Amino acid sequence: MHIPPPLVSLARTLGSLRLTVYLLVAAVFLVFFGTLDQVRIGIQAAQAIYFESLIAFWHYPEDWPLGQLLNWFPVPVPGGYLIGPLLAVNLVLSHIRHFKFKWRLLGISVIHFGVLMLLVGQLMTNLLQKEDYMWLDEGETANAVRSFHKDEVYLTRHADDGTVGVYSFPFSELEEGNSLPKNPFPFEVRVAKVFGNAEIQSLGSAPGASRHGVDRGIGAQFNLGVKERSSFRSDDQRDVRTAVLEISKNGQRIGTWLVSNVFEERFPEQSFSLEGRRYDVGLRYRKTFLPFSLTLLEFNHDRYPGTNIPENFSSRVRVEHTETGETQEVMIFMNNPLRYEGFTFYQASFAKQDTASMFQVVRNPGWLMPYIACTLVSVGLLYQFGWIAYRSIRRTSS
Amino acid sequence: MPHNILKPLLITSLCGLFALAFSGCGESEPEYVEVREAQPAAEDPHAGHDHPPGEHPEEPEGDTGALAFTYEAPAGWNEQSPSSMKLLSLAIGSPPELVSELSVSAFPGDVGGQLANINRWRRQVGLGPISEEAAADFIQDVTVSDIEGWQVDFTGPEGSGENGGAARVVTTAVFQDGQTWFFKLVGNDAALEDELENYDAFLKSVSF
Repeated sequence: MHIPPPLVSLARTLGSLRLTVYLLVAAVFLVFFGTLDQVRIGIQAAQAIYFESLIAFWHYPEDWPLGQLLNWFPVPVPGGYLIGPLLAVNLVLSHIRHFKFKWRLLGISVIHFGVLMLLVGQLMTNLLQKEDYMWLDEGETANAVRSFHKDEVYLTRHADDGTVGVYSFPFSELEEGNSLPKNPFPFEVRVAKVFGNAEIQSLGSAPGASRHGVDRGIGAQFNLGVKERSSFRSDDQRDVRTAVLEISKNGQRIGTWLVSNVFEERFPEQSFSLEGRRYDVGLRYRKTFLPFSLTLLEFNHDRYPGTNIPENFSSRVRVEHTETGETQEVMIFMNNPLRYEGFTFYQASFAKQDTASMFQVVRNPGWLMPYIACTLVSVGLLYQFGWIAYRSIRRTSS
Repeated sequence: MPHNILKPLLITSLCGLFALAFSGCGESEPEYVEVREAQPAAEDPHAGHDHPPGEHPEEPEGDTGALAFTYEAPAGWNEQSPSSMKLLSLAIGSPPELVSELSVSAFPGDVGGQLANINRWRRQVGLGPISEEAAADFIQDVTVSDIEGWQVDFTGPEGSGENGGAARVVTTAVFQDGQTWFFKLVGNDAALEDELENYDAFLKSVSF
């Protein structure tokens, strides 16, 4: 088969050891600058800007010596989504180029395959992993988890039989002027205004804030004004995500609501009636319903005798599958998570004088890959060193 | 096409393909599910607090953790069930008399900054916000468990508290183990005045 010379040359470049070294050096720079900026902008932002991008630009901090002079100059840093895939391609191409089956080199191939799997696994984790949390008081039951970072606009319809139809749409995808897509309810919701982070206060005491046409719900009742503010970019403070939603049916406006992720914990639902049905509208930390429920039976916080130093945290929970009715009791403690239906529940925190427990809930379809990859690398290393030892012993004995 | 142009072109295209591949991995789809009526426990235990709207971040939800200090409660101060935001809550007095409260909470970092907290407490007792310079006049240095901290004391106008009295808040904040610890005494001015000595004694008894 004839391969065009430019392609051969490209494959050689992409599979060269020189590129491997360049990429590893670039990875060192990426980690260095990403970590520097993480102090300023927080883990989430640093991860998005540096590790989940093709290229990032680092600016010398203004408060460092000569900061005023050097801050304007953007230092380009190759991003994680550039380095990672290129490393994977580099590894594969170099293997294709140099691979010759020999028993004495089999270990190296296995090691490389393990490393490749690690790279692919990391990428899968990055793209597919979801991290949420669940708070439970002792004796309470929950069937939903909440997001640490993501928010959603939601609409609910209450049926007479106790079921609730829940429509949700990611906050990050809201666009001013657009309607919520695929809304199953008999009315239209137009996004009039979106605030990535907002200041919400009584209109009288908030210079610069505006009502944005809100005439229904909490915003109207408490005469609230809203103004945009820059993101906190903090790991400790969540941005006050806010939107103004205009609801209408067949062109007839029903009303305009102010929704915000700070309302949920302070006010009752914002509801309205239409054609004899009750509907709620709001914005909240993304809520994911589970096909099962969890009941916290008991939380234990063991301390070393005579001290306040924690020895162990554990939660005894009952898991009940909604459809099958299957029930089981499980103990969740440090390094011993509950894995169920693709969700992993880690003991993460506690409150209310040791009567409430928080679980970090992780969904990662690729969670097994790092384990398999590390096993492959270990086996490869053992094989390779074993082979060398075997040959060395044979040579010595002969 | 010259060989030396084609190669960088192909590399650029490859990078573009990566970008395209990853840009499609967002969560842009709306969802619709039908569930049973939500159970209360599915909500945050942080729900139901009647903070005024607009100043969410000053007491962000966070890992409130265990009570990492020891203390001695003055006579007549009775421990009550804490909420998720309060690690410790002591009721002072008993109904039908007015009840004051001492609560302790801890949050990571500086919880929105000193001025934001001061203005929030002022608002709680019916006072308006103040500037950083003005706030400095109200801040007193204190020491709790050999840790340097600060204290403010605000009394609102008549009618801001229960039964037409004046509301008052005394808060001491110290930074320990990466968290800001708040010791907050809240109640009517007349009742709190008599408890200030006990409050000082309580703070002296605190040991991290």
